[in-house]
Amino acid sequence: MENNGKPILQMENINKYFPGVHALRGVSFTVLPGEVHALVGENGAGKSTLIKILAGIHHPDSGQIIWNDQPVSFQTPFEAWNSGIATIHQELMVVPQLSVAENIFLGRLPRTSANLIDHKEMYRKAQDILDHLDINLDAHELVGNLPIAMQQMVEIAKALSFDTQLIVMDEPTSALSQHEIDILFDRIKRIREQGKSVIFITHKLDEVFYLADRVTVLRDGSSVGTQDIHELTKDKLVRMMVDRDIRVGTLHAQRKPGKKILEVQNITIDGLFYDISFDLHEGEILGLAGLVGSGRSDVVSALFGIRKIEEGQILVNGKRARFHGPQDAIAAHIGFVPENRKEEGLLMRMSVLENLVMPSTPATSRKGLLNSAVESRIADEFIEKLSIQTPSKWQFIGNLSGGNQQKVILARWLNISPKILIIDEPTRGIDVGARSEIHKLLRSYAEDGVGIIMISSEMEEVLSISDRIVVLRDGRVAASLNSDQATQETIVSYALGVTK
Amino acid sequence: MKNIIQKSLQSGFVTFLKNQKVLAILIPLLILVSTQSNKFWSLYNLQGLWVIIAMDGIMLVGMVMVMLTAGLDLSIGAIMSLAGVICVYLMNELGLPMWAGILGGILVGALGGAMNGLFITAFKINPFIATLGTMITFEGLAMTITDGYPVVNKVLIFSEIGRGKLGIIPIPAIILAMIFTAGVIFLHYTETGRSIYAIGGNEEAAHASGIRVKRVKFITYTICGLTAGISGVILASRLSTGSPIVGSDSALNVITAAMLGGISMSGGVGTLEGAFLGVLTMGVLSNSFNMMNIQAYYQQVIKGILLLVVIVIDRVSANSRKKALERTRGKNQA
Amino acid sequence: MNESNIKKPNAVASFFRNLSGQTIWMVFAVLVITISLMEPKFISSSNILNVLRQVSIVGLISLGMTVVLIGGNFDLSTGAILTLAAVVSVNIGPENGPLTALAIIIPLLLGVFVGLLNGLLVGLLKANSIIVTVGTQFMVAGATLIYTGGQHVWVWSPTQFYEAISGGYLMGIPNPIFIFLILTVITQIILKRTSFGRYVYALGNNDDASRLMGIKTNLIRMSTYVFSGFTAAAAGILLASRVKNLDPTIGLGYEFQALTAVVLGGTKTSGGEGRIYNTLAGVLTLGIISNSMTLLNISYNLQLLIRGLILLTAVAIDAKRNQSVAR
Repeated sequence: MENNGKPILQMENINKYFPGVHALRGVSFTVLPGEVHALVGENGAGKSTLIKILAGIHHPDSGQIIWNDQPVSFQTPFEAWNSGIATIHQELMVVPQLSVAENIFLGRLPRTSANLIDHKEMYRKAQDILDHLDINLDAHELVGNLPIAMQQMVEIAKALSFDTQLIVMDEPTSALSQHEIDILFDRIKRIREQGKSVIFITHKLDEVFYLADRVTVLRDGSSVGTQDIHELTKDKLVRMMVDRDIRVGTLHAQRKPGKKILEVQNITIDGLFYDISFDLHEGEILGLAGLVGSGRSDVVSALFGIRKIEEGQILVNGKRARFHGPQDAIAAHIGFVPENRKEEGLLMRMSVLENLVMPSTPATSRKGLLNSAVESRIADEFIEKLSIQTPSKWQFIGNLSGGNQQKVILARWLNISPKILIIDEPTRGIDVGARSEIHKLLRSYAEDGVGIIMISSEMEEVLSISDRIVVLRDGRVAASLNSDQATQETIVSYALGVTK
Repeated sequence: MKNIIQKSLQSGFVTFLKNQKVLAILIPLLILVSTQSNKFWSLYNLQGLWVIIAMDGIMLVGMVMVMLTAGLDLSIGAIMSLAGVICVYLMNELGLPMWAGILGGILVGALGGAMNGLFITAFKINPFIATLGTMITFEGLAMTITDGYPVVNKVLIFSEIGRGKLGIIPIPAIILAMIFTAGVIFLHYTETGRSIYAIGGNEEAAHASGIRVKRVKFITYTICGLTAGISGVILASRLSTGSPIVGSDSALNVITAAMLGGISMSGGVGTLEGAFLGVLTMGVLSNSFNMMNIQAYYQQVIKGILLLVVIVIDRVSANSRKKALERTRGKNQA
Repeated sequence: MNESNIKKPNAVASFFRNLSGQTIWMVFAVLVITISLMEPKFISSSNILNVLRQVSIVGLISLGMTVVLIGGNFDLSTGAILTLAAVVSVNIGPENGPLTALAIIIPLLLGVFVGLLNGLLVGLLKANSIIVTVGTQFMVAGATLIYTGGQHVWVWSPTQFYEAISGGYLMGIPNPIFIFLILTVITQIILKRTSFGRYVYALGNNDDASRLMGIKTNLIRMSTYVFSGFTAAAAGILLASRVKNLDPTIGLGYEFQALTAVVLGGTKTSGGEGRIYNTLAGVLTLGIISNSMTLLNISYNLQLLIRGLILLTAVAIDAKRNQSVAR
């Protein structure tokens, strides 16, 4: 492995803005020919955005991509593939109903002189590529019949069927067994031997040290630096991923915990999470930390009655809760602010008022008739109290900013006098000003005795708001930390499984 | 060598038959109808049966393509009526030669299909709603042209298309065989054909592979209209009239047949060959109803129930496919 | 995640947004004025009452259709429900008090039952509502034909009350108009003043979000179909009382007229948005178009074609509005 070659890819000073978020802040990054380059960083650090720009899915707001000494700008994923950059996403881009060979050559199937598909040629070429990769797979097989690991191999074979010089893989091992991972890594090494490059995104530091030649660390949309793997240790890598400047507990007031309002005992849903236990007290904010896919969102969906638990039990105020759906959880005064505001939270073509009072409608209405006087008062009260910026309570919620939409959703649950409030990613896609307002709101409601469970991918949020932090990894509780034990490093170490 | 034979048996016709659940209806039905009536296997009945099957079978070729992209065309019945009306009208009222009439009818079908394709791809209207709208419009157009009455054909030779035979085989059945073969080749052996499957299976992946999704969808709707046009001309020839309402049940029949033959409404699943067994089953079913003197009204109810049943089956199997996928993903992650 | 902070409504978007909203009343007004100028006969009170009487049947179906569409679904079985209700009502033979009561109650129950079936299939299976209700339409229409043997049904001497449903007057205004307008107001109250109505809008806006707010979405969806079945059956009784000698296919195509009126009134085909008073405007607009086409001696068949084109236009405008909202 030689590092003296000219870079094959240079991404220079890439900036990308999403509404309310500066996702990439002048990221620069190079890939050498014949190297495996690992891209690491916490959730939300900007890795996915960066590779989506490289794949032609997003377009940078500023900055330059130089590929083989040529400045390029990919408008579609297909352009990127055609130029020799193949990206394999977590959601695999295969057509289950087509054969392996057809998937490999989709969009450019070999043809005979009569313009019909040359099946013989297609299967021969496909089989060649598969054999070359030493993948024991029949090119005639339907992709839908294959396990995920093999479908991934089909995508790799597809990448090699183009004149690909760089393969980008987004967390390729997250759905694979150990044996399958070994096979994948072996094939990646082979690809490297052929002089091709691989960008490899992962959360598993063992994989980084096993496979990568160089590592680039992203944090909060900026590049922290690129290091040769020989110059790194696990500890050093974790420290690079962690922002040392965050002060912990900035908003904390010392309080004694109230009585237990929620006891989660050994709950399991097979395939999602196993044997999860924790408690929640009155007036406490419990942070749920962990990587995306660690089971955080699945656990809270079980608490809110969206998913049925298979084992274990949930006690609310000491009594066993059997929720058959969200309506039962709401009746027990539990509120839930979902992660995807637009898909699961908002009624886009309805007013601020209607969005705000929807779950409390059964309480305010009489014999099924709406009580508009009361609702009007409630809406005014919350618009005032949460300083929701809206021209009127009759405004369509779709016309509000993300921060104000989120405040309306919060108000929606505050209005059912919640005992427990579950909130998944409270400030995702929200600008800085509204963020701190929402943080203050959560604290003030906690001081009034509401127990809050908060999921957040942002370390700063978790550390500055929570009284206690439960870290999940691979669907299990990895650690339960008090605020004086919790530091960014300990949380990241537990979430990544770097044991000390 | 033995190995090759075995393999071709496995991947060929035998496997195909093994995968066709509709055979569980078709075979008992054939046995039942054979024992109930000795007329079923008579040449006369079989010829009649195949003429009926030809009408729906030709349209099935287009419908299957549309459904494989996860679309639907509710307007084919109306297109069929309109094409028949136009064809007879051109020959008899305007006195054009026969080839012009036939071509005119088929062309109107293709144009109607292209119009559907335009609404769906350019205007981005949901296919169900768009083709519902065009269905009513085409019906209205056919009614306006004919003033609500069937147009009678007086060009005798034209009737040969629908009524004539080549040897013992009815001409519509021969046309069906040709169009069906062309359809199978198109779906299996052309880039566009495979793109149709790709779009229905994973539209995002198809797009990322450089397939021009809108163009392919437009083509499928145009083909669907074209097949309805051909079917309409044949029917007009067989009945010697262009009737503005003759196709009113066709869309439902063809959709039911396709789903019965394994085509899924969610797209990408099923084959034209399988769907053909669906049309065959529907044909035998209505043929045997007729032989058992079951009233047309009962047949309508049964067809309605059959459609609802295949929708239920389609949804249940789509859900179980989704669940299976989620479960393998989830298991691996844990 | 991808919503923008401030949305500036652009001119094109707001034009299309408004086009099928309140604007349908303006279209209606312009149409009335133009036709009155062209054809003075149109403005006569007898013709106006005639138009209103004619639209009351389509209008009733449109009420249910609006509710189903706001909830995010379609109901194409209403024409068949109307026929079934009408035929059963007449066949019961409302020739004395008790039979008259039955001739009203039983058809309404049948309508509710078919609505329940639609709701079950669409709600539980999440199957496409258009194709499901086309299936039930087929089934119900077939059942109606079996029930009548394909023959006309009639009633010789219905009770006065039964006749009065369509033939009577209240304060000089025909009863069908009263029935339609009262049900319009009731539907408006249900949609805007009850929690059920609010849940229907929520369902059409966002099924997942509604469920997460504790709304029993399947129950609400089913109820919209039951309501639609009810109004279609009511329309059937109205028709039966007027015609009294019924062809068992009389209701064919009513569902499309209602759908056209509802979409013309700006109810979104993707659900979540719509107003009953705009549906009223849609119904009236279609009514006067039909009426003036008849006055202008346009053939029934050409009218069919024009109606189809109107539906297509309304649907295209609806799709265009969708895109300008969705950015």
